[in-house]
Amino acid sequence: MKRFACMLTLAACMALSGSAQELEPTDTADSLVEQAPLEKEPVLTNFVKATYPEALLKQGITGTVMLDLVVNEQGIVDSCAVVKGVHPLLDSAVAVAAARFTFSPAMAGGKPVPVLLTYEYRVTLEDVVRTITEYVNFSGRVVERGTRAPVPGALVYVTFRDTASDTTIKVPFSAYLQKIGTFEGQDLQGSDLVTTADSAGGFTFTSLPAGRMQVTIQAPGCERFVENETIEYGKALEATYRVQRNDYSDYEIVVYGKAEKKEVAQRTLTLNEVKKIPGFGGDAVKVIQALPGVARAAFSMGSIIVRGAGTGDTHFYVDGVTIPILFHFGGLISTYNSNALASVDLYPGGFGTRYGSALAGVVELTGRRPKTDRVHGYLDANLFDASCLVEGPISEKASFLVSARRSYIANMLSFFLEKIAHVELPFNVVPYYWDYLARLDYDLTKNQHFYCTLFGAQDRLDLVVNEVRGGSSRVDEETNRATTDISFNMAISGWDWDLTSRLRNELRYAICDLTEQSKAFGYFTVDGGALAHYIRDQFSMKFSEAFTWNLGLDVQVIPYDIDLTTLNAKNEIVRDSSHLDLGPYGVYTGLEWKPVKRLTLMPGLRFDYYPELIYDGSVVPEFWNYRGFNNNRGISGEPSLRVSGRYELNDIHTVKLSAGTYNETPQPLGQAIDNIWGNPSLPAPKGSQYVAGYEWKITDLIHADLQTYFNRQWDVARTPSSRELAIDPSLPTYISNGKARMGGMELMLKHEQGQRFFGWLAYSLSLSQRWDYQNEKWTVYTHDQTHNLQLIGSYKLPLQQETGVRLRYVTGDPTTPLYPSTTFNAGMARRYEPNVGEYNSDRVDPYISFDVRYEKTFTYNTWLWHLYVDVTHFENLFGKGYKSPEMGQYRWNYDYNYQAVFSDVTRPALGIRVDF
Amino acid sequence: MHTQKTNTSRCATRLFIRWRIPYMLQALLVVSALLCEPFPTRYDRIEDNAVRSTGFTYYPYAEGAPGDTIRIRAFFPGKPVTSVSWQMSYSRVFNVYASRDTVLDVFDIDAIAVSDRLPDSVDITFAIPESTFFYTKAILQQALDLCKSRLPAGMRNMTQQDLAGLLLDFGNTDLGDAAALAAFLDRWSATLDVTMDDPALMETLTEVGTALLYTFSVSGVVYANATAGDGSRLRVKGEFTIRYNRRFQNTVLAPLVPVNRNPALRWVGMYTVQGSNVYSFSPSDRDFDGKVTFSYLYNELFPDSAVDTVVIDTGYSYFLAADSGIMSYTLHRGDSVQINDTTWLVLDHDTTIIDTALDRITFTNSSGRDTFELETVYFDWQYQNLALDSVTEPLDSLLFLFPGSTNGGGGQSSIVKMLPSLDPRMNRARIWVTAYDYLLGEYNRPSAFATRNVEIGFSYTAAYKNARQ
Repeated sequence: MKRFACMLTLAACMALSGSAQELEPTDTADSLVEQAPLEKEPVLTNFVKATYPEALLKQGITGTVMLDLVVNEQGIVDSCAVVKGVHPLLDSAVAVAAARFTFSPAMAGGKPVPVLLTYEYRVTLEDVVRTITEYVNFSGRVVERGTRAPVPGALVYVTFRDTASDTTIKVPFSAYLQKIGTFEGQDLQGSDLVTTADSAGGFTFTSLPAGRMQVTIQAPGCERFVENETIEYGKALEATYRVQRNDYSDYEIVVYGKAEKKEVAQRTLTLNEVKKIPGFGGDAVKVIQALPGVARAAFSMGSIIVRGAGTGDTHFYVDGVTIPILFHFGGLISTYNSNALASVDLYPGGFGTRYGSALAGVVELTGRRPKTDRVHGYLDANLFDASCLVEGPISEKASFLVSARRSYIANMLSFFLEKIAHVELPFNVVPYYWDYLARLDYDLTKNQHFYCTLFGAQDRLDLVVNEVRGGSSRVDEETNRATTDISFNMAISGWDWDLTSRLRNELRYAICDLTEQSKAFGYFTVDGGALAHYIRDQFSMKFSEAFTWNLGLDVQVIPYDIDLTTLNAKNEIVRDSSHLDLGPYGVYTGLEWKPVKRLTLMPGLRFDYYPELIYDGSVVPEFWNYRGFNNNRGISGEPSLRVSGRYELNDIHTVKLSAGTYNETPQPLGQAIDNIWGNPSLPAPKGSQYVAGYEWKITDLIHADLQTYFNRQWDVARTPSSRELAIDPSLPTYISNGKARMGGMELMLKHEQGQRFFGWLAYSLSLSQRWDYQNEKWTVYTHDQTHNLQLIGSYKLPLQQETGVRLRYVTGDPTTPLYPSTTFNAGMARRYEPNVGEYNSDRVDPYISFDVRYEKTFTYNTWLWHLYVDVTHFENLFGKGYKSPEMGQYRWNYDYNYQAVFSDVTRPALGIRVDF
Repeated sequence: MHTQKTNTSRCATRLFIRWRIPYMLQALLVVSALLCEPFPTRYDRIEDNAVRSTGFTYYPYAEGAPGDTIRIRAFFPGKPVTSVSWQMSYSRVFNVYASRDTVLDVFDIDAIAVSDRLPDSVDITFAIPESTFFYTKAILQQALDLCKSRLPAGMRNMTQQDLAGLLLDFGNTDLGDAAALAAFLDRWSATLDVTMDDPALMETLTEVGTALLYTFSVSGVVYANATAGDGSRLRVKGEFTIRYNRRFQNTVLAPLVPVNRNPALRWVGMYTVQGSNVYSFSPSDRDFDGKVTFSYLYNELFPDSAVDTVVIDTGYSYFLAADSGIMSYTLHRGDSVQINDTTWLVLDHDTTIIDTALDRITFTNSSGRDTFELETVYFDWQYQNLALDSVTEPLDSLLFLFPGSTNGGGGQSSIVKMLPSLDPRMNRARIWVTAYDYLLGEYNRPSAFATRNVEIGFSYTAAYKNARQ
């Protein structure tokens, strides 16, 4: 047999890491065949790790040592030669280890043969690094500067400036970093270790080497944060980092879930929106006036005139129950602290059966749950009042919110008049208001939530005119004094219970103690009050995703007592002590039905009983005045039928329709049905509303809402005209055949809050008319405003600044033309009387105003300071050219030859607010 | 619509304000802040280019009963009036709030006599129709129903005309005359359900009388349509209460049926007060002791005490004043009168109180403590610049009465600040003052008026002239 000698060259990979070695399979073989072909390659059966030389650990030298090994017939390494080395010490260590390898011998011709192998021994530090232990030595929180709100998802980078300071690290620093970069929760990116803050803003780093390092934090919406820190050996570092938000104006945003838009004409404002709009001083309720369908109010007061209806035709709710007084002093600022609100909803028409006793619209304020992450609060002071709010958690299940506000108008007036203008007024006037709010929320169970809100306010005005002689001391002893004092204290409790996933019950109960006292110079005194109760309960049963049934109770029990002493038209002192049991007591039911995926139908029925009225109510809901049909055979109440629907053509376009009947108690509330000053036999005024709308989601941020409507009212309480009195002077003060009609179109083009811009264009085109019994024809309503255009924009500037503008153009209010007087009233009035033109046949000039707002935010670690100025009628600062008429009446000279408008002045509202 | 405003008036206003700053500062701020009026809203200054009126005065009272003869004097300063026609209505309907009145059935007055004192004034004498209450529409059915519900059963079905007839007869009956009373009862005893020998006779008559007097009381309207030579017109509208109260002044009903008498302007004068910037002045203010001189411009009791010229000097302020002196009330012996907060005076004899400064008197008598409210008298001040044409001359050349500058409030006080002209040529003016009374709470109470005008000559000192140059 041919004798051959086999020499194999094997390439072997060996891993040498410190004192440990690892054998990797031989992956290449090169054989020399002399006598017989090699039948079996040698296989390493005993691997010996080379000991990594201590002297080389710090250098961290790694690489592959290539060896030539001669393996004899017994599989023992006869000789070992370094073919290619890395470092002499390493080469030597590897060679020593390799010499102790044993193999299964190579076979050729059926016999073991010696072979020459080329063996590659890879030297790493892995075994050394593996000994690095995990321990947390750097942890902390990332929070917003000023608000202290956690910043979840913030990226925290650690960059080591000094790689040699930690002498305990045996391996090269890069190897160490590489190793700790594999620890859970942290990654090595380049030379930086990175971790991500959790939902509470917390973060940890593990096994960081001692020494100086730079901490860098990056979070969406925040400025880059850099801080230098030092890790000391054997010590853990804890830190809280406060990062600066790019913009703090959204701090107030409280997202409690965006409710599905169901109503045809629902417009919702969130708190962050209202704070950006000039001219309202951040008052959430008054901002409603900036929405389509709501008329401009004179002197920026609080009248909410919806779609050409009367001021009393719109109902106001807080958490589903009636609010007794919406505004301080009739419109200065809302009594419910705007900062405690989650949202303000305006239903300018077509609203569902949940709401009653309103012919026009509904405004619902929804209080918000207190924040639960920590204690929050603010202090605010401006030219008129100061307020504060504190909220936070009590326990896991309970949280609280309290706020208070007090005005100092009188002090400011006194200061400016006496100290600045040096004017000594011939009267003393002391107006002030205050309000408070306290809310407690408690989660009874996972499915039950309870809250209670205590809410109260007082308005008081005291005017003493030094020299006035006034009326009669038989009316009031103080004939030189006029006061008004209105206050209420209210408790609203709510209990929401998800009985099952398909059954839900919402119960609201409120009790309100209302007192009103007014008197004026011995001409009248009024003392009124009521201890009112409100109950609302709505039970919802969700049969399927497409079918929900609601059943509700909406009861108001208002036993109102009033003592009025005043003069009647015949100069008599009349004392009137009346008691009215005001309602209504309402029940309602409704469906939310989706017969097909994109169609939502909401039919509903409601019945309101008016205990204060004595008349035969309707049997079937009236969409118009059913004169030819004997419908008035029921009790003193009215049924309502309302249907609305939405159809989503696609994800972008939606059309909507509604039709419904509505009713309310006669207005002015209480007065119209008073025994002396009104007519107790008035029926409930009725109305119908028809709305068609179209929504267009133009982009994610921009959407448009176009609505048209036609409303009618009849059986409305009104005072008889002179012509009617001439025919029948015995007509009562109020009669019930008033009728009205309103129609119009409204457009809302809104840009939601983007990177920097937020704003909307609101345009209302309307015509509101009343039947004029004097002239027997339709006449425009006193507050009819044909065009009402509002442009609102808010823009975030750099350096925590934000500015907003509001531009308004409104058609002038109708007015009755007055012509130069030819009559002098020589009676008690002793004044010239104008020649009066046709009622509301003219209009005052258009109303144009430009309001601006500017806010600068200063941030500190635990505080936010906001400095703001809100200027109404900014345009007046640039000349006296055009004066916008605030009212639908002119001021006249004594004989009506000259006229001027009632115009407003530039009113800056300067304030400072501190959030903590 | 007349909305234009001339530049001339604006300039004049500015000029006027500039010169009057020492006087006007406080008031300007107040007026600007509270009223912001770009033009005068009062009619104080009477100019010659328009027909003007200071109102009516009614004689003998500001009220009358159907059948009474009354005389009305209307004053027309300003552009001379050449003719006046008169109209009246006794059907004026108010709504319950008095915010709207409707005047029905206006008719031409059938004058008994017209005393033509034109161009300044005119008097008309006429009789109120006896049938006024028969046909007036101002008595509403509700009021009639309420009235009848308080009357004896026999009267429940009576019509307005029936009741008015009864009241007419009642008013013409002298209740103190037994024969007249018997005759009255002969006609009405069945209706009234009362006889001469009924002990409740007077009580019944009182009840019926007061109820009817209350119901049959209407606020009439009198119109004087004045026309000037150039055809310009002014309609003056006055109020005149028609009720029977006067007829019952000598009956047992007298305390229950008040009658309003005209105020009397007893004197008009001028206070000269040291200090050029005195804004508010009261003669009773002790701070002004020794700093005030007073001159009568008119004095009813002592005509010779009046001066016709006042001296205008620098360093002084001038206040016009008038006194009505009509407040009178008779208290009886034994009544207690509150003199001040702590002092009560028991009267030892009947006492008539005459004091315009009192708003009310609290007193006690056998029927207990009560408050008797005195009527309030207001004053309207107007003025005519006689020496200069007040239409064409700048405002600061004219006399000016400052509205609201008085110590009475509302510019309707008995004292009003007078700003002398800056132009010495303005040396003569006529002051018109109208006093009218008011008492709150009395059903359909008429307002009574008194008007007086006085002419003043002004003599400006050299210092004043120099200071204003």
